[in-house]
Amino acid sequence: MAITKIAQVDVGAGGATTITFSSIPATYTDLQLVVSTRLGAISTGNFQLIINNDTSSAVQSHRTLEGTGSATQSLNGSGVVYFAYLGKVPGTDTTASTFGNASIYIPNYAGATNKTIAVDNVTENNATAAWQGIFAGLRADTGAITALTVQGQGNSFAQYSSATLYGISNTAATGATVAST
Amino acid sequence: MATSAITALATITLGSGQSTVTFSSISSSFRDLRIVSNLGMSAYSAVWMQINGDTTTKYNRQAMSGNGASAVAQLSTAANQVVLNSSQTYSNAFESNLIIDFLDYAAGNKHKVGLYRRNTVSGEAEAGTWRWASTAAITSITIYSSTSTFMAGTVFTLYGVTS
Repeated sequence: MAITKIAQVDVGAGGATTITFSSIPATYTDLQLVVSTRLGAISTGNFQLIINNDTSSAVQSHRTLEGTGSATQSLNGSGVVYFAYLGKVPGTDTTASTFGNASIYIPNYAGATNKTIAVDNVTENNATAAWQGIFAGLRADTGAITALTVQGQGNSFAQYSSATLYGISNTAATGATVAST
Repeated sequence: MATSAITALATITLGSGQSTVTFSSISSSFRDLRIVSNLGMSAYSAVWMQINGDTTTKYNRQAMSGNGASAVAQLSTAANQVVLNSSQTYSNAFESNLIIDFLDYAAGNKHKVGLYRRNTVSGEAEAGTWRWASTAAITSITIYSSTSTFMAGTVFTLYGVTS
């Protein structure tokens, strides 16, 4: 089986400051983290990702392409201690009961090269301001990824927020032949 | 137990620098395909794709990208290959990844279309669509660079997706 659910977190009535997956096994090839989130008590905030519980190594960089509902923008950041901006999480200023979605894909997460991430992130809102974007991320570190934490800037995720971590494996591949030159 | 919808078909793990990788004899048993790579380049370079060894002008593509300062849109038509990047090329390091989707790849009655996501943190966050103007089933996919090589440690994996 190429794709396996590793773990799932569903936020309960008290909300959750962060959602963390730890002790991620190195037995897969890629990781995909799919989240559905909303901030419980404040307006729309930044969607953030911390790798390996590391908030001290300034090895993260990112580049974005976003639509805000009324404009486009492209931002970049480098040498930061974690991914402080990978899109938006909808908050109390958006349509009630409406959650944003994000997909974070990390190829070769346990390999011996730098770690790159592909993030697609959307919010939803029955108004003009609804963010969506794609994000390129880099963690310039060759260590395996063993933990992922997502958080919403400044506040907790609301009840019914959820996150699911999948492992994608390329072992026992059969169905095509390969060549390289 | 439910049948898996995604199956790994083949993997290329480069032990040394190579400029071309090819998946061939691709099984027609799936609905869609996906290629995923953590690609690193030995020098700044564009990355291209051809299908079934076709070098004729059947390839079309459009893309949107963010280069860190502005949003960019690009269109190319009747080209000899799909260019999997916009104005900023892949950088000379392991700081890119590439995901290419091939939708309904084995159909014999439609042009082949797909999506790609390309991320180079010192270059662009990019999303694009492509079309190969042929109704033939896809049986081989070549990804290559004409001016650089994929670094040792680069992994390309081909997945089949069942509907």
